[in-house]
Amino acid sequence: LIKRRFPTGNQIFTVFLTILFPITFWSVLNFSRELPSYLLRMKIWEIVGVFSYTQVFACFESLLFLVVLILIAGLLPQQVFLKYFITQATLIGLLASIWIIPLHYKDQILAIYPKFENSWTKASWLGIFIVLVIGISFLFRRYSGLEKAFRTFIDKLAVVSMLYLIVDFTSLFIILARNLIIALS
Amino acid sequence: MSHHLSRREFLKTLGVSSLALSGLIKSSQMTLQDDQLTSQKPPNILLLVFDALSAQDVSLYGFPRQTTPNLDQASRRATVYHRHYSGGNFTTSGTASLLTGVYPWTHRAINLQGQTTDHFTDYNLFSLLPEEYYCFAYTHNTLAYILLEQFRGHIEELLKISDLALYSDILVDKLPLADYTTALEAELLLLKNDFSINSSLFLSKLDQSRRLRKSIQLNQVYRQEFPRGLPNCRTGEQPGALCFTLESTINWLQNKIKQQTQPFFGYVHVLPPHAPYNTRKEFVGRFNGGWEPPVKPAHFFGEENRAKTLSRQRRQYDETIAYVDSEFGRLLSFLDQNQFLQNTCLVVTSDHGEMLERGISGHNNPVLYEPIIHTPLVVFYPGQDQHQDIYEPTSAVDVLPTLLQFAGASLPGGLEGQVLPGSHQNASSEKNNVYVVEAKSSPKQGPLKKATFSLVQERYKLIYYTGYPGFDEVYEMYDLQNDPEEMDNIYSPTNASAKNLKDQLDAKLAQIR
Repeated sequence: LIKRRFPTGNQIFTVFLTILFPITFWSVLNFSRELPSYLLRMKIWEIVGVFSYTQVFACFESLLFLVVLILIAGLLPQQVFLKYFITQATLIGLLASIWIIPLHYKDQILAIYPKFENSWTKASWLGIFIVLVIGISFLFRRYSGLEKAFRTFIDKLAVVSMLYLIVDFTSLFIILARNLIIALS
Repeated sequence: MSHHLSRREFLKTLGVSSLALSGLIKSSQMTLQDDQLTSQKPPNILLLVFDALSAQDVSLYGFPRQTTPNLDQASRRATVYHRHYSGGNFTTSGTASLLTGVYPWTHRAINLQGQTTDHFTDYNLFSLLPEEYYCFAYTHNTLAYILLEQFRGHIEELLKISDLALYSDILVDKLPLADYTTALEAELLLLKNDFSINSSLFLSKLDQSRRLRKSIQLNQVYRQEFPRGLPNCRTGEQPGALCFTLESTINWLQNKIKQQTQPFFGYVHVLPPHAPYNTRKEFVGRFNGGWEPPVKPAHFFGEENRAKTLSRQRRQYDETIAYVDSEFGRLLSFLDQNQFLQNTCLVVTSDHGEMLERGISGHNNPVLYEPIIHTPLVVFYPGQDQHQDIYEPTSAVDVLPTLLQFAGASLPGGLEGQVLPGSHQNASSEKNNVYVVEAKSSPKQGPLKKATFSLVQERYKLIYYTGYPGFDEVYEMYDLQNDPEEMDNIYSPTNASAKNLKDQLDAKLAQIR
């Protein structure tokens, strides 16, 4: 039953890599914004430490997101989600990543659009997201060329994300080393 | 005529000289120590820091609003330092000066969330006290905690911020990490970035809404007591669920003191009256309709047309000071009842002040006006029963040498402070130049190119801004005796007093650079 209801390991790994990309990219981007202030007051080994924690956290965040997508795949009818797991899950992951960015700029947006925090605005924002996911999914089914192009994009994204994954593993090693060194000293 | 020493004569001379030298050292040590101290156990030391408490808003120092009736009354048997200054204008630099006895240009904890240079890891108030002292510390303030973490090796008991909070949102407190400070730094960047954007794309939003929910929940529970919300440890704009009450911190401190082996050194750094100004019910609106502060023109670093908002914020700030004072009063009653003040040196001070004028609010700015650097210093020396006023300028860097002398420790070299006058210890008779340094935007290692410096000497105060775009190489000078509100900038390159102060500051900066 589990095999039938849930995606295969390969599918899961591909989707994980595509989710890892925006989450890690955001993390690196914001780390680089803070870097000048770190350079003012921290040593390189400490900066490497902070970076490592953020990268491992990004990996953990991607895993959590992946779990949610797998659960959705298990709950929704196979024909709707599981059959197209890689494209559907990646689409949701990428679109959600774009959709959440304005929430990080809440203060700036509120300054020019005070209704941003209204329930109605929030509902509309979520509504547009759902409509877009459904709409794009429909287009993929209708035009197989489009889906094929998206799959090619996913494959390329997964390759780039492999680099992130290597960074994540290195980061995990650095965290362990830092904790071990401090604990022993 | 030359005289050659024989080997025997040489050894004899050497023996006599070393005996004389050791006698000299011993006698000089004896004069340093109070007879009373040599015969008894050294006194306990309790250093109580109220974050962002400006002396300008303390009624003990003549503020028209009665913000500190308990402190006013208690000061009848304490030494009140009327012109005391912090080392910096925010927690990191101010606290580090207090704990290291040197100015920010030396300890280099000058940036937000910064730590001092490695040298001070083993050279601070905790490490310099005699071994017999049991050191414990607690703070609500993340920035102060980051510093205490650096000194952890010399603190027998360092509580985490969350230990005394009603609810903690700090994730790393729950993880078994030895690399605590770096992990905390990463958590602040990922989930609780007060000054910029969170690094976690999704979970930061979940964490934020969880904190907001918890904060609302707790505030509902305590709404009767704290109508504006509970005091909380988040010092930025984000909602915080690291809520606490000052009452619980004082309760903990009372229990701690009661059970603690003596002598002890307790460093307790509480966040109120720091923003958010969430005071207890009975103080809300206490200063409505009374005295109002003079309106001052907006500073280059301030915003225009904020006078009304700042005036309201200052009222709320003063109401929070009244809350702090009531809890201080409760602590003092406890200390009195248990006769702790007979053998305890209680120091009440702050890490920096608070600015709510000239279009500027808070202390995250480059200015060094009195509200932000003039901090209270009230010391209850062991067994003191008379009031004493000290009007000479003193600095946060003077606290460490004073406490070390009380503890019977010798003063190490390299200190920039001197023993406080009025402490009945070996107080220095030298004229004290007091400096304050603000250099958040300068590198920890390297020259302080973007910074503000202040020099207080007798009645005059010189402020020097350097490296700020549009406000570079600017000097201000005030006569604090005739113009305590710093309304009239009397700086002029031709003014003899100004030239004298500028030359002294230049010489000092040349020395530290």
